[in-house]
Amino acid sequence: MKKTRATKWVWLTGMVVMIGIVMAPLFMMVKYSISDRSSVVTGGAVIPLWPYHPTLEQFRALAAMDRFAEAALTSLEIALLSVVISLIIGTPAAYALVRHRFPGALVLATFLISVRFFPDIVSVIPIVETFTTVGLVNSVAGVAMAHSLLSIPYVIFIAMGVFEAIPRDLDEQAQVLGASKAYSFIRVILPVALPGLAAASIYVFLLSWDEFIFAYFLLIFGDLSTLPVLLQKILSWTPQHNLLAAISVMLSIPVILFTFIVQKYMQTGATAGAIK
Amino acid sequence: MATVIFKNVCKRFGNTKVIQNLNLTVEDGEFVTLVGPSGCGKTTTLRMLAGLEETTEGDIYIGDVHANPVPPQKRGIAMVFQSYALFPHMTVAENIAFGLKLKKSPRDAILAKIDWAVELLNLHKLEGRLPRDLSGGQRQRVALARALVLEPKVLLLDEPLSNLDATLRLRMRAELKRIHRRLKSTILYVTHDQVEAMSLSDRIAIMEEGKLSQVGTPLDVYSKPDNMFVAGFIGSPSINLIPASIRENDGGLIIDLGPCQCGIPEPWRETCRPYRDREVVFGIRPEHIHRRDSYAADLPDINSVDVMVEVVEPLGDRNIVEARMDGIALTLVTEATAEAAPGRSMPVIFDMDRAHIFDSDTGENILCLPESGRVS
Repeated sequence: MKKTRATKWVWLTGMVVMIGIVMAPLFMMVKYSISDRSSVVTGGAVIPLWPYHPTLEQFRALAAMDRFAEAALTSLEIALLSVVISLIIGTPAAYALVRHRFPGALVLATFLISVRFFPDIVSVIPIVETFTTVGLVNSVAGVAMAHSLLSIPYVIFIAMGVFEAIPRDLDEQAQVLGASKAYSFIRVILPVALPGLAAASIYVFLLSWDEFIFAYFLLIFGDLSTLPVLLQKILSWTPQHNLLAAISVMLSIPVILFTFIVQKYMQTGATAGAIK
Repeated sequence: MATVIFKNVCKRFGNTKVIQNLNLTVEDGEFVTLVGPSGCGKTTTLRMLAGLEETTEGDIYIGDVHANPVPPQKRGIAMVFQSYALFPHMTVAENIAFGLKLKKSPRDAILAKIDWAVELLNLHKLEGRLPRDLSGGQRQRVALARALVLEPKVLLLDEPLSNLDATLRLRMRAELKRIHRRLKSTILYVTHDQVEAMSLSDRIAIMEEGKLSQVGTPLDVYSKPDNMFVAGFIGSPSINLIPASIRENDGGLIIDLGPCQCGIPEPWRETCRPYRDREVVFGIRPEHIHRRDSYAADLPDINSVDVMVEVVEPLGDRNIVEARMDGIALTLVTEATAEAAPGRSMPVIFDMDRAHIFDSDTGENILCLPESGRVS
């Protein structure tokens, strides 16, 4: 009895510590974002745990900054477009790789995914060069395409796992009942795969949302900025902690929102009842 | 409704021959069961008929149509998978309507069909449920309903009862039989359960390693097995197969099992004579070995022997007795009332009119060879 109690305390302490480690930076970020100037610049005194005069001043400043709103919109457009492109290309590719075991399928899959073993910076040069010649630099579409390039291997990888978990019987049953392969893919397999694909789309959104290198080089000579690119520009004039924290909060919110929206589709047991 | 013909059908996966030269005709409205041990090619045969596997050689006809080049969705068949393969995101009604919608049936007709299937398979009040909220038996019935509403020319069933518990299996077995009698559809049914095959089918096709071993009515394959494999596969408990030899004895022929000798009945003597002094396998079903005292006393003594009882399995209506006859294991069935205690000896008698003698090289049933008197 004593032992179980001790174990319980160890667990509890451990959990509190872990939650603390995870939550502390988030708390700091939110705290700073609503801090007034005197709570940040204390002149040597200890920075208070909660700001003296909490304020939304930083957020108002950001809202007033046209460039910030524009960049946020651009980032959002690029991220959503990346999700669409990578799912449209990646999902059928994964389905083909899983369901049609043609010779070399495994090699091809490995090859597709191993693209991600190269550092991004290596592929920046050829992509920027190519996109310059075809006029895709300084455009939302260009950056979204570059981001899709990064995310498609992940989408294929995740979607392959999803499709592998869907029994082949479902495809065949649909066919025997009169469906073409395309019809059974769209009406039977995709709906069943939705939770897994939702997870993939969250991943793509996140990847595009905070991607810096491609966005930076592809937008370097234009007026467009994504949020990470804008952040780099803002950082160059060393603003205060509280403004930076407010930017961080603004960067997190859309990701959290997108995740919540998509999570609706992620209920477990999508294939429950399909077999047996 | 249609006749199905397999003509010299072969199937190879790489170098592995899965089906060898299959010839089988399923008549219009007939219920034929493909039965055999795991991996004998029965499911592959069904899948070839469904168009889910290509045939390596040979032709398949559904009705008058040469089906080989026809894709699954255009073959006019419906199949119920072992796993049921219900579409998990669709309700029962949507599942049933799936094929009808693809056929572009009018809405009223679809609704009428759903009602018909719900009525037939007793799915009342389940129309709006998702498969995950159904029990195994209900899922099975939905899968069946989804196939039946299409009024397929041929209905293919791949071990549809294997995922159900014993009670439900018995009920669905009766249900299937009832549905077949009512709809008169051509059904090709796959199972590894010989009891299921016996109880459901008009004819049974027994497969072994990709070949048809025998095709016949349940009674035929039970009482006149063509070979040792069929004899061993059909019937429960399994037939006793005992190495033996045929010898001449006082003008008659006897079969020598070692511990005992049995007289070969008059009608088969001529058939068996060529096998004189050769090794054969003697086959007798457990239900055709009787306790000597409970059986007609006028049978000749020569067919009887004392066996040592080892295990008694009471089934209520009868007992299955595992016994030994000088080291040879023997299974027999006795009435439940018969006294049989482990460790005691029991006099038994073989019903030679229902015994079988197999060629030990080819496995063929000597008594069922064309020249023998037993072929009907």
